[in-house]
Amino acid sequence: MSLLDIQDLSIHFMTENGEVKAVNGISLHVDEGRTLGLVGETGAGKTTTALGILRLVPEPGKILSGSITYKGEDILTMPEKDVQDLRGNEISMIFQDPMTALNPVMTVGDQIAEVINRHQHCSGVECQQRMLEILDKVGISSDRAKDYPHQFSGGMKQRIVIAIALACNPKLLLADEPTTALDVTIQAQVLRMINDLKKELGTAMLLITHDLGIVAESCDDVAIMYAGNIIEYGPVEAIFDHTAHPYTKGLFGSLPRLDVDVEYLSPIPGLMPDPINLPSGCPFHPRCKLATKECIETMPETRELGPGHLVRCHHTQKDASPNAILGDPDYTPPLAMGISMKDEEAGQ
Amino acid sequence: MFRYVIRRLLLIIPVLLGAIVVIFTINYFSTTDPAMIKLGMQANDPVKLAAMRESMGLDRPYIVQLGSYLWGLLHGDMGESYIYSGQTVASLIAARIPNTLKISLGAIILSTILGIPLGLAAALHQNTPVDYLTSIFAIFLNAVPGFLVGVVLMMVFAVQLGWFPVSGGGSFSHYVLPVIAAAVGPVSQNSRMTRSSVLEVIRQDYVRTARAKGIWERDVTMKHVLKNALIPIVTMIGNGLGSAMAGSILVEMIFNIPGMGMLINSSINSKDFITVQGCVLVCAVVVSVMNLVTDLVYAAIDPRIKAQYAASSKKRVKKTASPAAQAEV
Repeated sequence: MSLLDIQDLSIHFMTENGEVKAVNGISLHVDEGRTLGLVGETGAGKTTTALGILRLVPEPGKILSGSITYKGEDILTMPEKDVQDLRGNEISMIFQDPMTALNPVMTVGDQIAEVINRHQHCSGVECQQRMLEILDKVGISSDRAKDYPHQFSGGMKQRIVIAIALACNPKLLLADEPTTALDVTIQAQVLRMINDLKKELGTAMLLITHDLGIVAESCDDVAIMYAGNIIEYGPVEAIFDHTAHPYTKGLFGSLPRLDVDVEYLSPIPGLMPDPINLPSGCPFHPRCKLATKECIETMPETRELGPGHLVRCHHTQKDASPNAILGDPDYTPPLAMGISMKDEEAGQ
Repeated sequence: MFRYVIRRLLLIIPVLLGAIVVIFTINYFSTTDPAMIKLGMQANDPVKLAAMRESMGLDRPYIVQLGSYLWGLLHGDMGESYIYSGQTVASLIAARIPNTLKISLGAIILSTILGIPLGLAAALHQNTPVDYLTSIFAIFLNAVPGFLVGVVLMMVFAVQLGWFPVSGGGSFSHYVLPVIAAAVGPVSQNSRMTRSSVLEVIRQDYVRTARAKGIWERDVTMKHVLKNALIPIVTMIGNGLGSAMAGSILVEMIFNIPGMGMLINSSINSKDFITVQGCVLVCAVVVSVMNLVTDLVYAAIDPRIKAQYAASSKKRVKKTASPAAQAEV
C-alpha cells in the first residue's frame, strides 16, 4: 500500500469570472521513502494539488471530487482536528518563497519550536533543545535562534523553512519549488540538504518543480502535469528515456543541450490554456503538432506503455520507441543530452 | 534603543517651541488688549490702563515679550490668568487636566477593547452576517457625531433611567457616559482599521505556513495574524489621543465637566489669551509624548522597526567617530 494515494482529485476555484479548473481528476501515489517529482509549467495546478493534500486550498477553492488516502485514511473526509494533527507532524510542506513564508514578528527559534511544541507535547527546555538540534541540522548556528527572519538571507530563510518542515520527522514532505526563489549557487546546496535529510529521516517526498535537471537528480518517479491533468507518469528512467507525450518532449526540447550546437532552443509554441475555458478533448491539442480531429473531440484515456509508465495521448502505441512516436528526425531522446545523472546510472 | 528614546525626547523641544511661538504670535497680533481685559470696568481710566500695561510688560517689543514668556516657562511659570485674578495658568490647568485625561484615555481604552475584537470578528467572518452587522454598526457610529450620542445617552440613561448622574465630574459614575460618547468615533475607526489590516495579513504566506504547521486556529489568529495586523492599528490608536482631547471639548461641555476643553472654551470666549496659550502648550506636550510612546510600542511589536532604530543610532556613532578616525590616519 502506498503512503499517499490520490485518486481522481479535482479542485476548482469558484471565482466571479467563472470556474477556474485548476486540478482535473488526477491520480498519483507516493510510496514510503520515495520521491515523486510533479513537473509542469506555472499554472498547471501543482501547488493546488499539494495544498489539497493538506486540505489548505485557499478560498474560493473547492475540492470537488476524488480521495486523498494517507496511510489508508481519506484526508478529505477526516474531521478538521485530525487533519491539524497531521499537518506539520506527519505531512509537512516547504513553500516556494522563503521571503514571505516566515512570520516577520516572531523569532525563527520560536517559529520552529512552535511546531515541535504543538505535535510532540514536550516541555519548554526539551522543546528548545530539539529546536536547536534541527537548526544545527540545516546548518544554522544555534546562537541565531533569537534572530528574526529579516536578519537572514534568502538561502538561510529557506533553510529555516526546511527546519520547520522537518522538525517533527514527517513521513511525507511536500516540497513546493523549494529552490525556485534562490540563487543558482544556493539552489544546489539547499537541494542536496533536502535530499540528505530526507534520506536520514526516511521521508517520502512530493517534489514540485519545473526544473527537469532537479527531477533527474532527486526523483524516483515523475508526474508531468498540464492544465490540471497528469499527462505522463512513471519511473524517472522511463520518462527520460522513453518520453511519450508530445508535451513532455516539448519540455525536453526547451532545455539547452551541451552536445548539440544550436542557435535557438525549440520551445513549445503558444501558452498554457486559460483554466476557466479549457479546450475540448485533450487540453494540449491547440499547441500540439500531432493534433488530429480525435484530439479535439475526446480526452485520451490513460494507457500503460511500460511497467508503471502511464501516458494520456491518442498518438502513442504500446510498443513505440520515442523516435517512432514523434516521427521527428530531429528529436533525440534526453539520455543523449547529458542532463541526467540517473540515466547514466541506470544505463550502467 | 535608549539612545533613540533620548533623541526623540530632545526632538520634542523644537516641536513645543514652534507651537509656543505660533500661538504667542497669533495672540500678540490680536486686536484685544490684555490689560483692558484684566482691568475690566476700570479700563476706562487711561492712567490705570497705562500703568497696567507697563506692569504686564505689554509696552515692550514683541521679541522681548516672547523672550520673557519663554524664560518664565523654563522656570515653570506659565503666567497669571487675565480673568481669574491671582490664579496662575498652571494651577488652572492642573485642576482641570485630570478630568480631560480621564475622559480621553478612557475613550481610547474603551475604543481599543471594543474596536479590535469587532474588527477581528468581521475579518474572520468576511462576507457573512457577522461581517455585515459589524460593518453597518461601525459605519453608523462613524456617521453619528459624538455630541449627539452624548445628548441621547444623557437623555436615556441619566434623565429617563437615572442610572448615571446627568452632569458634573467627581465619582467614577460621572465619567461613564462622557467616555462612551467620546469613544463612539474611535470605536468605529479602530474596528474598520482592524478589519482591513487583518484581511490583508490573513492572506499572507506566513499565515499559510502557520496553518501548514498544524497550529490551532486560535493560535494562528492570536500569534500570527493579530500581532502582524496590530502594527498599523497601534499607530492609529496613538495618534487618536490628539483627536480624543479635541473631541473632549464638546463632551465636557455637554456633560458640564470642568476639564481642559471647558477651560479652553471659556478662556477663548473671555479673551484670556495667556490661559489659551498654556492649554495649547500642555496639549502639545501630551500629544508629543503620546507619539513617542506609540513609536516605542511599534518597535516592541515589529523587530524590523526596532532594528532600524538601532541602525540609525549606530550610524550616528560612526559618523561622529569617523572624523576622529580620519585625523588619526
